[in-house]
Amino acid sequence: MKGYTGKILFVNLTTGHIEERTIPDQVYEMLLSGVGLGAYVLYNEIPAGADPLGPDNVLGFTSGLLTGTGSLMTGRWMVVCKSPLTGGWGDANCGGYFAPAIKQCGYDGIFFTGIAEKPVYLLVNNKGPQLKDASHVWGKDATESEEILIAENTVKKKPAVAVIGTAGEKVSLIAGVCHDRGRIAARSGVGAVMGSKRLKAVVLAGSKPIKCHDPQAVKEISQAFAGKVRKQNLPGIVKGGFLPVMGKVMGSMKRVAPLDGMLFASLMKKWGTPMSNGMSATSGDTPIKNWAGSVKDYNRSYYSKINADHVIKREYRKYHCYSCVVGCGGVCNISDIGQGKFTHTHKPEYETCAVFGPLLMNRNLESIFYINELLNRAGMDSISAGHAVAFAMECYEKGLITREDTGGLELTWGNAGAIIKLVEMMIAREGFGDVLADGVKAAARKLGRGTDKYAIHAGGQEPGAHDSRFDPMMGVHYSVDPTPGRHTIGASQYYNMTRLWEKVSWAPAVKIYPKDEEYMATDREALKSVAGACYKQIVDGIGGCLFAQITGVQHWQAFEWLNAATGWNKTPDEYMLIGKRMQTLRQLFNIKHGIDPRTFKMHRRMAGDPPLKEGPLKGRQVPIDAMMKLHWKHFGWDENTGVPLPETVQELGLDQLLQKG
Amino acid sequence: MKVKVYALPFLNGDAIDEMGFMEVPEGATLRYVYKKLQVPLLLRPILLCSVNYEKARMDQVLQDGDVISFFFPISGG
Repeated sequence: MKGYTGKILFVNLTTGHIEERTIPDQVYEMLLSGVGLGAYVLYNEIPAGADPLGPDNVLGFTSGLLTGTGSLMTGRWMVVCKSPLTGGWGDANCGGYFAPAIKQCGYDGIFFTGIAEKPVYLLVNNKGPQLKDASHVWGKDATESEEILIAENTVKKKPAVAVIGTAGEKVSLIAGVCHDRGRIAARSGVGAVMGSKRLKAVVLAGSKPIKCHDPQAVKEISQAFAGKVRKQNLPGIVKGGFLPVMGKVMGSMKRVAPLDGMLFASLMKKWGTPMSNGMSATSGDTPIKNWAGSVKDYNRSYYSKINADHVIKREYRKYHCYSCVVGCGGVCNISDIGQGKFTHTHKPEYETCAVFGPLLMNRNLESIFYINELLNRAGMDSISAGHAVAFAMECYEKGLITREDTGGLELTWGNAGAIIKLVEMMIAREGFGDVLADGVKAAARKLGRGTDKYAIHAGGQEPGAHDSRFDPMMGVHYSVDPTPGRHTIGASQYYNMTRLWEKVSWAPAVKIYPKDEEYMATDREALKSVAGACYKQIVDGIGGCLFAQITGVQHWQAFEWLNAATGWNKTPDEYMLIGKRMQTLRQLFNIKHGIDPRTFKMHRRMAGDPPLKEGPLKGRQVPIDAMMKLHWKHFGWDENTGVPLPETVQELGLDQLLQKG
Repeated sequence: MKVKVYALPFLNGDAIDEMGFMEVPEGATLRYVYKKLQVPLLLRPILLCSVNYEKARMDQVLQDGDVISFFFPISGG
């Protein structure tokens, strides 16, 4: 009765053997659930040096510790595995309705090892788990497959499905796992691992109750949070045209203030993440032209075409994930695009709009809607796919590849028709598309000719669409996280809004400060980035949403919810120690698998080498080497190598826990 | 008494402590906070400010523990 079930399901796809395993309470107290539980299982189960696409890799689906307890915005599920993209720890998470479904089947996680002889899917309902033939859906896209599997397996309750599309089947290293017709756990190449195992889908139809320690206390915290969110509504006078103006102001601001994150909810309710389309383009937050351009290139005649109001014009239904009171998602009508090939699509997220818009100098919003649906159905990560196209365009511009390489495609900046065609080729692994279908690092390796200069990545993974020259702490996390290139781990903006210092004794307090401080490698900045990373692990351990996190700990009360759900009565400092342990375990996983953390440093262009010559980030440079060292030092890892120090491993009790495992 | 203030970067935050609180006299109104923050007169009509997440008037009398937030969107993910 602590919010978790204490059980996992372990499926060997080679032998077909399925077993239930009990996880000791100590594991949850030390690592929570979600990504922490995943790290515990994978560290112990995957032998060092295992091929990420081979039978020894373990693919896991985990729910958050708070999922289903009555807490809010804690419905994200995690996919974990050894990443074929980076060679180290891999995870991705997604909203929708799959996380509670895992628990309703009686488990905190479902793990797969081995490789099936033929395509299969796992069905779990109240009668138990069984592997079923998936030949009839193999070769179909994720949306169509999901609809077929739901129709086949609905008895009383409609099941929740996690499924790969054709990108995963073709083992594209930038494939993700899809859910609810277009949500996707996209990063780390998790879909490639699922495809390599010939596991098409996981179909969950259980209906067991989810119990916790003090549901009434959980409810009271939830009511307070929901009450505040309910009040967050923008006045009618605030239109989308206002956002780029605000972006411009932000980009020119010499000082930074810790704002009230709760107000962020009002923007998310109205526009969802596309609110940033115009605002981030003008502030400097959005990388432009493969990270080599600025808003001087992607000027008003461009960014005004992808503004948030244009996006929501097509939205006919709002979309809320499980236990969400914001509802930043939406479903959009696209029946007039692409000769009516698709009727609707999930509202494209900011990331998708940014990498298929400014990153490619593309101002054709209709093409972005269309590509969004193509990628959602194929189950391909839009962040990585957009960067792959940007890489190809810059190589084309520089003359390193020609129309002969591209199969006749004219890959000029902003050529929407060519972008669509190239994405279709990547999904089908046809011609030049096959070169790009495994991400930019692999593409540069295949092409040679000095193209690696334009392959923007960190440790093999393409970065999120948030410029590290705008928020250097974002660059630190791109470079030091065990899953590099991730925009969801930490940043100054996140730290300032999360306001950890209100509850965590060692988290540096922030008042209004000069923006230049963010560009300095100091102990204070490093402590902030460490605190951000530790807290994000907690969020990923409880199934939390980043957008809830950044409303602030004073509003979205994760620590209090955890105590109410588990009865542990831990302090925020004690929970942060759990976060530190989780992050250190993920790093230890990488060390076990031969990763040198120094090789995860982001592409030099992302650190302002060479610096941009115009725009709001003109001249900005990030001392990334020094920042990485300080971050590692304050984590208790070797400041020169990024390897966790033996005394840190011991202090965190990981030596004991892992030996027991 | 103390009120919590989420100020904007271009305002004067000297009167706000590390936890975000500002000391205000009994009976103080929102106007007092504006004065302390040195909110430029020109910006006042376009700044969105709430007290306890409700629309507020300049002559609204503040209570101990009130939360005063200024609206200024930042980018998301």
